[in-house]
Amino acid sequence: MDNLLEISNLTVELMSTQGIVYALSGVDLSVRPGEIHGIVGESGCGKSMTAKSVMRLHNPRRTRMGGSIRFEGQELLSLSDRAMEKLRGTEISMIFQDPMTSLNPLMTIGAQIADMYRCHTGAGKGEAMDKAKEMLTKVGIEPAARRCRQYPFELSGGMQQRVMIAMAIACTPKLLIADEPTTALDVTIQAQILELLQKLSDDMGMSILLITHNFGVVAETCRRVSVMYAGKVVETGETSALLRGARHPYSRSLINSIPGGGERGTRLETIPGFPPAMFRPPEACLFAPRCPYADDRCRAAYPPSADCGNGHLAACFYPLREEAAV
Amino acid sequence: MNTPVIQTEKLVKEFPIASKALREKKKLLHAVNDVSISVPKGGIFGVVGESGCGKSTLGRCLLRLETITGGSVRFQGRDITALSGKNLLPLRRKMQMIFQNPYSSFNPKQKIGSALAEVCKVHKIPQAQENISQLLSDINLTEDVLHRAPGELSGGQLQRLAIARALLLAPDFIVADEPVSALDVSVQAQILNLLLDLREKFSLTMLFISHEMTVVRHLCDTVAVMYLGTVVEQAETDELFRNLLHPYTQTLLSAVPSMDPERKKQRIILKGDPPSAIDMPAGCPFSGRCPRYQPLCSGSRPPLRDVGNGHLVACHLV
Repeated sequence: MDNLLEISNLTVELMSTQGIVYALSGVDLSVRPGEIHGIVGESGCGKSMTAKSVMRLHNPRRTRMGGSIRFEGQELLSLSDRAMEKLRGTEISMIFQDPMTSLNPLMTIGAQIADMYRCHTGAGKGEAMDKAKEMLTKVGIEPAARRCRQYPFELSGGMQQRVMIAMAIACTPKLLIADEPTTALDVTIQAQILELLQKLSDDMGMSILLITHNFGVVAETCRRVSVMYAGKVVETGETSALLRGARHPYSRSLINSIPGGGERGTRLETIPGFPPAMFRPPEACLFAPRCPYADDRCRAAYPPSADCGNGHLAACFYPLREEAAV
Repeated sequence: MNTPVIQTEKLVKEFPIASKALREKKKLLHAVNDVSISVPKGGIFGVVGESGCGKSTLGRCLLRLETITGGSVRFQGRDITALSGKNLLPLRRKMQMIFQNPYSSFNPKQKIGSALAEVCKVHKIPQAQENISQLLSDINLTEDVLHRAPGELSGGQLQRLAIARALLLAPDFIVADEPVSALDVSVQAQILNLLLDLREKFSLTMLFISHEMTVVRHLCDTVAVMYLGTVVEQAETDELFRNLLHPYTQTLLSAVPSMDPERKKQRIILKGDPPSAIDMPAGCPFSGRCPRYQPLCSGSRPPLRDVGNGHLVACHLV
C-alpha cells in the first residue's frame, strides 16, 4: 500500500542564541491513506516540530532541514515556496491547540471561512459564503445561517475548534494535521471533537496526523501511533498492540506512569532523570541515561529501528518482550 | 469525633456582573451554590468538574481569598466566614495553596532561595535555613537549586518547589488547584508520588482540585463532583467509582479517553456546552444536557441526599 505521507530521516536544526538546537534528528514516519495516525510524546520531544515541518512553516533563515518528506510521492522539501503555498490548505491543512488565537477576533466566522475558501479556489463571494454555511453545518454548528454572522468570542472553546476544523476541511484536503486539537478543552467537549474528527475521516477518506500527549486520545481514535522522544520516533505500531505491549523501554515507562491502572494510593512508575538538552547531535541512544536496561552498546551507537513483527518498529537494541514483567 | 480541619455549610459565592446599561438590573454569577463539605484531618478531598464549574472558587473561598456571599466556613472548628484584614493574617500561615502553573507562581527575577526565605521572613519563622534544607531533601532536590532563577528549572522541579514553599509554614490545610495539569505524564507521576509521600510524612490535609478523573481517583479519599457551582455527587473514592449514580458523573467518566478498548463502546456523548452560571436553569442544573431528562427535572432543584454508604447524590431519578 502506498503511503500518503512518507517522512524519512527528517532533521531540523534551529539556530538559537545559545547555538544550534537539534530539534529533530532523523524522524521516520508514514501515514497511510484514510488512517488516523497518532504522534505521542512529552513536551519538547518534537511532535509539533514534525507537524510544522510537513507544512514547511519554519523560518527558512533560522532553520536547516534535511532528509525527505514525500506527500503522494512528491518531495516537499525541494518544492518552491509558491508550489508549497498551493498545497497548504488545499491538500494538507492544519489545526492548532488554541482555537481562540488561531481565529481572527475581528472577523465573523462565516467571513473567515469564506475568505480562506476564496483565496484557495478563486470562488465568488456568494459561492464562498454558501460554502462556509455548508461547512459549518458539516461540523455541527447550527443554524449555520445565523452562526456564520457571529464573532469568535461569542463561541465556546469547543465551538471555536469546530470552526477551525470547518476551515481546515473546506477544500477537502487529503491530510489534516491536528496539533493537540483537544488539549485546551474539557473532557466532554473533547469527546465531541474526537468523534467529529473520526466521522470526517471516515466520510471524506481523509488521513489525520493527530498530535497529542494523551494516550487515551490515541487509544480511542488512532489506528497506528508513533511515540517520540528527544527528536526521534522511538516506536511505531498498531495502537492496540503498542498500548498492550510497548517494546521500547521509554514507551513502556510512559504508559505505566499514567494513573488509573493500579490500586489507589500506590506509587506510580516514574522515569528517573530528565530528557536530554538538544545542543549536540546524538550519537548514542538518547534514552540510555534514563533507561534501566542500557549498557555500553546503547551508549556507543544509536539503535536502528528493529521490526518486532506486524510492522511494529522499535528503535532499541534490546526491545522488551510483549508481556515482559516490568 | 474529631473536628474536621475545614468545613463549609451551604457555602454560596456570587460575583456581580457589570451591567451593560445603567438601569439594567444587576446580574449575578453564581459561582458556588450551597456547597457543604468537610475535610477530616489527614484526608485528601478531591473536587472534579469541568472548567467554570466553580471548583477553583470553592478552593479560594475555603482559604478566604474571596469574601463569602452566604453560608459559613469553619477552620478547625472556628468560624472564619466574616474575618477580614488583619484577623486573616494568622490564618494564612496555617493554610496554603499550590497553583496550576509553577512558572507564574514564582517571581521570574527572584532566585529560588530568596523566594523561599521570604516566606519565612513574612511569617517570622526562625531557623529558616534548616527548614529549607530539610524540605529540599524531602522533595528530592539538591541545594544548588536555591541559586537558580525559576526560568532555569523544569516545570516538574518548580512544582516541587511550589509544594515545598507551601509546606515551609507547616500548614494545617492545603488547597492544591490543578497542581499536575500543566505537567507531562511522567512528571505528573513524580508529583503524585511526592504528594502521597508527603502526606504520610506530614499527615497533610488537602483539598485537591482537578479536572482529571483518573488523577483524583488515584490520590483522593473522598471525591465531590461539581457542575455549575453545585456538588452533584459525593462519596468515598472507591464507593463513587464502583457505583456512579449521577448521570453527569457517568457522562464525565465515560468521556475520559480510555486506554481500555472495551470501555470505548459505552461512551455517552453530551450535546452542547454547559449553560451559563449567570442565568441558572430553574431545576436541576444538569437538566438541559442530561441524557435521562424527565419533565420533573426542570421543576425543582434536587437536594443532595444520602443514598447509603455515605454516598451523596443530587438527582431526582436516583
